[in-house]
Amino acid sequence: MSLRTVATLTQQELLDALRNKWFVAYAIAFVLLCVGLAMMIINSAGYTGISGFGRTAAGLINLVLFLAPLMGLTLGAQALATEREQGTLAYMLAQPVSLAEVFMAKFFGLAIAMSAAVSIGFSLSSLAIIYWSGGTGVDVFLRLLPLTLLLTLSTLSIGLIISAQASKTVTALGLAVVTWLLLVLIGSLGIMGMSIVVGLSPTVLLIGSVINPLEAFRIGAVLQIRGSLELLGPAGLVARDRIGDMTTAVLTLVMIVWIIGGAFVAYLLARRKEFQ
Amino acid sequence: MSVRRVVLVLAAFAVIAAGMVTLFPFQSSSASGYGHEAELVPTDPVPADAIRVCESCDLQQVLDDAPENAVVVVEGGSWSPVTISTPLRLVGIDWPIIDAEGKGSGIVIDSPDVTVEGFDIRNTGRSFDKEDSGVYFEGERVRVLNNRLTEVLFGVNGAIGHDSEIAGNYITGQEGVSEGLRGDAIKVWYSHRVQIHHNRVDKSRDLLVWYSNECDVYENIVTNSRYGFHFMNSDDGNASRNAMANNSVGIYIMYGKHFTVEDNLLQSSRGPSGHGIGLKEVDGFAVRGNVIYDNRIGIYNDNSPYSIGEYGIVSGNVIAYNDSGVGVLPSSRSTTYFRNSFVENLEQVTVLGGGPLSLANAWSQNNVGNYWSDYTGYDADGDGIGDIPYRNGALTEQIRRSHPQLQLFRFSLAETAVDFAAQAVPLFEVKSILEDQNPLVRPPEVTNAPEVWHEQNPNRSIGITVLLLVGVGASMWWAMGPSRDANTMTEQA
Repeated sequence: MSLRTVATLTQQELLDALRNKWFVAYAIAFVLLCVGLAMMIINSAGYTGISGFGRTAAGLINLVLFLAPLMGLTLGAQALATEREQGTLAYMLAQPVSLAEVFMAKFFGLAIAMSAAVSIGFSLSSLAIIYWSGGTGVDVFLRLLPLTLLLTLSTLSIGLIISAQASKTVTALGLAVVTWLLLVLIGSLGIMGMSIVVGLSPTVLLIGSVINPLEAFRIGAVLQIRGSLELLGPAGLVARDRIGDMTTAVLTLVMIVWIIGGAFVAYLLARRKEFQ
Repeated sequence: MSVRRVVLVLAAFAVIAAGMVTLFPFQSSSASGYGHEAELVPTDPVPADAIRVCESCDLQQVLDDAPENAVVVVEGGSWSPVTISTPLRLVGIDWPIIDAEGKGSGIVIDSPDVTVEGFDIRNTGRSFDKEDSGVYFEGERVRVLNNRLTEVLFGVNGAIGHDSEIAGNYITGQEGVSEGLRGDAIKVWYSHRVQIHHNRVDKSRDLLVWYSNECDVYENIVTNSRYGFHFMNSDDGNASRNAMANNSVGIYIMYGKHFTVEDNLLQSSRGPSGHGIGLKEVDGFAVRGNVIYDNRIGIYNDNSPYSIGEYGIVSGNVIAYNDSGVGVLPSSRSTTYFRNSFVENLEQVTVLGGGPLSLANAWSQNNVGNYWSDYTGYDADGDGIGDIPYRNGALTEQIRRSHPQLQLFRFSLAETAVDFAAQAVPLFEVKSILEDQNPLVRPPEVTNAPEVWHEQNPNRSIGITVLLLVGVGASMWWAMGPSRDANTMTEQA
């Protein structure tokens, strides 16, 4: 495997990302929504002149949970499927490049493009807050950036798993949306329902939730913004007492495992699909 | 694009991410902005016939020999602990030090009408049995003014000292001792009409006023302690214009009658209790014009007022950005809440322990209700009062009350979706725990309370944000720019 080939293909992938209307739409939506939320955060403080972390600022967690996985999953799911459908993947593999190189380039190219979109969204909203409110509350955005990047990449890896299997873009996109619903809503609702019916212990509840990278992000975000997990009730206290200072590290690790593990699984699946 | 470029771009992102984490570690809104000086209170001038203590004198001897009502002046130097048993005024100039060297108290006052001012008292003993204190007094009309007390177990500790005054002192407990094992910065026991004001307290345990009626506590600043102020079994107390930040509890009132808590700042009370203002079985209270910001529970009401026929008034407060704005136990009743601003609390009003809130609480008076930042009604006639009532309580709040373990799902999209669905398709009625018939559409005027202290560092934020933008832009441009490698690669292919 030649790193130089990977690099060249990564560059190609970046250029493709910019030409991809989906990506551009996501990036613009993300930036606009972030800045809009920043305005709302400033406004919510406006009357009393006091700013802080309230319901509006908590909306940022919701915004990220909504948009970042959608972006990662759908773009990731399209990545190989589209090329496969158009026949360009087979064409490319007929050249002296390996599937591993193509796959790595897909991953890195999309990772860089999406990280850039997220970073730009966050930094523009920070600037908006600084400009209009003199800097109070700006920390919320900057503190969430690393976790948001990790979340985006985790969902990218999951998207690539879908992409490795799907032969058509439409199938891939459909699966991506279903997966998104599963991760965002159904998973949590399921655990919530089970907890009410069966009465899960806080530890089980915590572990069951944290496996989901979205939940890992959310818990990490609460920890970053509030400095403690006591807002999250008994399960939060379990995390505080059992894991303590390592909580952020554990949550980060969960997401990194999803990123690397997911990408690796996706590669294995893609190889099986192409060379079977 | 070369390998170097890919690596560098990825490294740039890693550095940015790592930078964010290290530059923005979690900081509680530390109250260091208040500084470490008490605002000194004015004192009487030193008369010309004052007794001046020479450098080699025995201070204790001078005090024992001094006639009643004498003025004794000490200029600088370091002295052993003393006991004052005659009514007199002891004045320190240039901060004379009284070092207890880890044994007993600094200054013990055993007589009425004693004034001690301007001393730097250090290193008391550690005995809770003997209540080793910076200044200990038993006597009426004692005044403890403008002293610095550091590394003390108890700070100013008074008993049976009616009409005394404790003002302008800077008091801090021992470093590195957990708050439960510190002493109390100010403790007043069975001393009526005591004035406690302009003290600056940091890293102490509690400030206590026990069994002492008609005490006035005002313009003190208390940070990083357990209880900002704790009144217990004391009637007719008054706390005003105090700033209490980063304590476990701001102001806690237990078992007394007729309190006024006015124009205080109660910020970031986030300890195990985490109450801005706590009211336990208090008969008659008026909580007015306070700014209650970023506490776990803004106002905590445990069964106050206790007796039938007593009142409770909570009005004109700004209750903002708390986890719970007002937390009440279900038994609490007869309290009127009006003209308050409930701003962006994660839960505006919570009934602790579940159940409905007693209807004997009122949320408006004379057709004036409260301002609720999450009010979704309108004001068509423009009289400043919303035309439809404000109802508190989302479906998930209700579920969380009966299933506290589901707090884990706070801020999740699942929770948002449940609330949205419950609003859009109201198949069953969400039990609202309160109804404000006359919600205000604009927050009432802000109060005279001290300003909320924000750790503001916009320059750093601007710097980091600009760096982030430039970094992302530059690395993207570089990653996508033309490169010779691409051509060589094509040729090779």
